[in-house]
Order: sequence, then structure tokens, then C-alpha cells
Amino acid sequence: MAEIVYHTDFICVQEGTPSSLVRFLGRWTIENAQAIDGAMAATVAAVAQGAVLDCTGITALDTTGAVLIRRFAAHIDEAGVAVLTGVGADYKELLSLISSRPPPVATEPEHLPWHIKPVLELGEAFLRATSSFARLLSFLGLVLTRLFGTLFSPGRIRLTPMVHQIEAVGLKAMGIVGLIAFLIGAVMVNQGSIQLSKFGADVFVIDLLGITQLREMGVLLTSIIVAGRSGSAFTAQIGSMKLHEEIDAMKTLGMNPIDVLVLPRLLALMICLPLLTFYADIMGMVGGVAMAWAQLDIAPANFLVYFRDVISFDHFLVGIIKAPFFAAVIASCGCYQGLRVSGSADILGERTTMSVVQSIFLVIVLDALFAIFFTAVDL
Amino acid sequence: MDSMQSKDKDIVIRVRGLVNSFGDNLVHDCLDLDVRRGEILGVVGGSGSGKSVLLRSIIGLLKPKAGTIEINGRDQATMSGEERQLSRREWGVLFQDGALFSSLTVAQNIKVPLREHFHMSNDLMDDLARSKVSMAGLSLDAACKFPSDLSGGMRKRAALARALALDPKILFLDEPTAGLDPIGAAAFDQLIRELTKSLGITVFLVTHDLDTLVRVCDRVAVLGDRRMLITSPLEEVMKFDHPWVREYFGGPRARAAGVK
Repeated sequence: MAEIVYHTDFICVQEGTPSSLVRFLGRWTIENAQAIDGAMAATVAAVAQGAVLDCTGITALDTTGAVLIRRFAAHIDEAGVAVLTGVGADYKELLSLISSRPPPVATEPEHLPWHIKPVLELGEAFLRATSSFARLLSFLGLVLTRLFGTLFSPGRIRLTPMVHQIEAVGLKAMGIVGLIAFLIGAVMVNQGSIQLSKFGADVFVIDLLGITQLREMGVLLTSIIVAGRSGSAFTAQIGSMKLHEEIDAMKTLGMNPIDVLVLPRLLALMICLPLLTFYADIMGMVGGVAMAWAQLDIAPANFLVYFRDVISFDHFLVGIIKAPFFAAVIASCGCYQGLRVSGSADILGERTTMSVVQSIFLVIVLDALFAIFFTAVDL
Repeated sequence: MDSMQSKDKDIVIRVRGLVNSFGDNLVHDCLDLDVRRGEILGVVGGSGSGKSVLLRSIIGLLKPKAGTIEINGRDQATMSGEERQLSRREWGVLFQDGALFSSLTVAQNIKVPLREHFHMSNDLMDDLARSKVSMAGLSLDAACKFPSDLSGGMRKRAALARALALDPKILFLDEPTAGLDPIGAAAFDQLIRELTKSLGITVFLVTHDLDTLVRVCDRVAVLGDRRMLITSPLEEVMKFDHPWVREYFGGPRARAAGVK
């Protein structure tokens, strides 16, 4: 009786001359794959030079089992010669399906060494950012030409989607915009009065609120909310249309996607953002009045009289004049990123994030430029 | 009695009294269906006749309003979560558009079910994934490509490879040849036929494609009037007297497909 060198539930290695006998036993199926694969190293070690692989003991075989048999044969082959015998008629077809060993090609996407990766990514990010900005500018140019084109053929403006967008980006944003403006107004009076009362100047909190809210905070906060709310929605709407080839279908039907999708959104936002800013200014004042009344005992009537005396109409104008420009930036970023979606749903998410980040960034940059401009013209 | 039992054992999927409805729209009304072990059953029916709904209720994506669905003799409705998890291993599903995970490569897609159900070494999983890729008739350099880089036919094959990842006993195919060109469709038909026969898989196949019915299916089930009109080999189905069946198998496209 030949000596048994190695034994598990699935494999039995018997010594012999000229070669060992490796008997495969039991159910060679996916459930037992890990146990069988784990026994490979020991089996190969137990087989000195070549072996006969006997499959008669196998009671069940699936493709995973067939792959395992092929792996055993390949590994033993490296040490000596492997001969496969006793393959049941039921399993012949299965084994021949698997028998040819596929070359070891990569199954994962390529990975770069850790020290190259950040450098490469930084370079790529820079190139991407610059080219993306250039493309955004050219997109803006394209949209503006189409927009001025509508002056000569006003029929191109699609009123129904525009009104729908006005409802979506304007009317439905009133709740959140109003609430935030109210809270910011209240917080500004609350915090401002604490600091100003140290100088006994707490009444100047009204100047503080009026100037910051009307000039900067009202329009900026509204723009940021709208960018997060509507800019991202524009990207997602247009992006998913792009994924479903709806944009291509539109083009073949002779419709210009800029006219159909971008202009209604752009115009709707340019109409709505100034109105929302005006509304946010009022809500901010209401918040400030409420807080001043509660905290400083300034009656609303007194507040408003003082407010009228110290805050000039210019402050309001400076704020509101920026709104349509911000709106154009948000709408074009949103639509542009939407039209850039291609490939998979992953890209859609990426583009949506990018549209919000980009539009908020550009809004703040533009706001800084406006600040310089208004200082220069003494407004 | 004994023959009755052996017959019972041969039935892999047993649907009894299935009722499905969406709102007022009754899709299935007391539908009965048996799928036998090792056969390829083709389910046909007009658009909106509820083929996909039937498939979705059998694979448990849709809870039927009434009726029982037994797979391998186990009622799907009364199973515990763990049993269901275990039984899921025994099926593979090929969705109409492949439904490959778009953020993973083809090989990673195949490894997803392996990783989910078993703890295998990465090396073995790679080997298995490559074997499945070549089994599905894809060239190996497709293994590290993303689904968006593949053509429609290659995506179908990749999805088939994923469906076969766990060595299922039952394969559900939802319109496997939809959207493929005739050559690609014929090749895919042949692949399904050869692969499932050599692996001994039971196939439940929903299709519109007459060529697939002729070349692949052992039996054909016709869905109409909210129930199974007939479940028989193709020759018998063609003789069946029902206006939809006559029109379907007697039309010009049927003649072109070689249905006499």
C-alpha cells in the first residue's frame, strides 16, 4: 500500500514511482473553493516530481471546481508533469470548457506608484481646471450669442419651460431663502449688539445690519443657496438627459439644446435671483428688527425711522445689481456641467458636485471684483 | 405516487395562482407555470403582457399580490432572510441592459458576487473571473475594461459572465438578444445554448426574438390574457389556436426566422 503523504477532505496524495498519485475527493464546487485552494501549496509541496491527478473521487463539479483542477494541474506541471485521469463523462465537457488556461492579464485598472500619483494628479488637476475654465467661458459666449439672437427672433424663447423654471428656482426657493435670511439678520443684530455695546454704540447695529445685508450678505447667501439648490438640479436634469441620448435626439430633431434647455433656465434664474435677493433683504431686515426689539428694546417703528435716515438707497442698488450676474454664472455653470456629462452615472455625480463648487467659487470671485469696482466708482 | 414525486423533483420553478396588479391594471390573474430541470424555457408575449413583471416576481424584486412561487421546492414568500440569501446563490440574472456596475471593470464586476458570498484568495478570484470572461466568449483584454468602454454585445457577454460567477443552477435572462445585431444575436443565442447545456443550467428566458425561440428554447410559454396560454415545445405552440399566437408565429418575421 502506497504511503499517504498528505490528506484533506478534498485531496489525498499517495507516494509512488515514478510519480505520485493525487486523488481529488468529494464536492469540488464553489462552496468548497476556499478550502481546496488553501490546500494547493501543501499538495504541490508533497508532490516531488510530477503526479497523476485522479478525478474519479469527485462527486460534484462546477466551473469553479474545473478552474481549481486546472490550477492544480498548472502548479504541479511547474514541478514536474501532471497527468489528468479518471474524468467522468459528465465532467468532460465542463473541463474542456475551462481547460485552456487564460493568460494572466490584469483584471484591475492600472495603479501608479504612490510617489508619482500625487504629482501626476496635481498636474492633471491644473490642466483640467484651466481648460475647464476656458471651455466655460466659450460656453458662456455661445449662450450669450444665442441669447442676443433671440432679440431678433423672440419666438425662439420658450415661455412654458421658462415659467416652469421660474416656479422651480424662484417660487419654491422662497421658503429656504427667507428662513436663512431671517436667521442671518437676527444673528447679525444679536452678535453685533454684543460687540457694539462695549462702546455704548449699540444703536449702530442698525447701520451694520443695513449695510452688510443689503450690499453683501443678502445677494451672496441667496446666490449660494440657489447654486446648491438649482445649479445642481440643472446639472442633474441636463446630465441625465445627456446620458439617455436625449440631447442627441433633440439635435436630430432640429432643436438647439442651448435654446431648449439652457436659455429658459438662464433667463428664469436671471429673473428670479434679483427678486429672491430683494425678498432676502426684506426677510433679513425683519429678522434684525425682531432681534433688536427683543434684545435692545428698539421698537420696530424706531428701527425703521433710523434705518431710513442712515441707509441710502445706493446700498440696496449695489446688492441687487449683482444678482443677475451671479444668476448668469450659476445657470451657465449648472447647464455647462450638465452638457459635459458622458458615460456613466458616476460622472453625473461628479459633474453635479463640480457645478456647485465652481458656481459658488465664481460667484465669490465675481463679488470681490464688484467690491473693487464699486469702491473705485465711490458707490 | 412515486412517479408523481419524481416528476415533482424535476420541476425547478413552480408558480401557482400568481396575481400581479398595478393600481387597477391587472397584469397576471391566476397564472400557473412550471419550469423543468435542465430545460431552456422561452417566455413570449406581446408588449405589456407582463413578461418582465413575471420575471421580476420570480426573482423576488416584486412582491406578488397573491399566489405562490416555489424555487427548488421552497416557497419564496416564507423564507427567512438568511435562507433567501443562500438561495440567491443558486440563480444568476442577466438584466436587459446588462446592469453592470459602471464604476467597476468587467473582472471586478464578476468578482462582486464572489466577494459577497465567499472568502476566496484574490488570486483564485482573478483566475475565476478570467475563466468566466473567456467562457462568455469575450477576449481577455476586455477583463480590465469598464462597461462604458464596451459595445452592446460585449456588455451582454460581460453581464452573462457575472450572472455565471456563482455557478448558478438557474439562469434568468431578460431579452438577451435585444439591441444586438443579427450576427451578434445569433452568436449570443449559440453561446447561451452551448454554455447552459454543458453546465446543466435551467434557463428562464424572456424574449421577443423569434430566432432565439427557434434556436435556443426547449419549450415555449406564451403569456397572454393575463395568464399562460400554453407551455409546450415550439411545434405544439404553433398549432395552438389563439389569435395572438397565430399572428405571432404566422407573421412575416416568423417565416423569416425559419418557422414554417
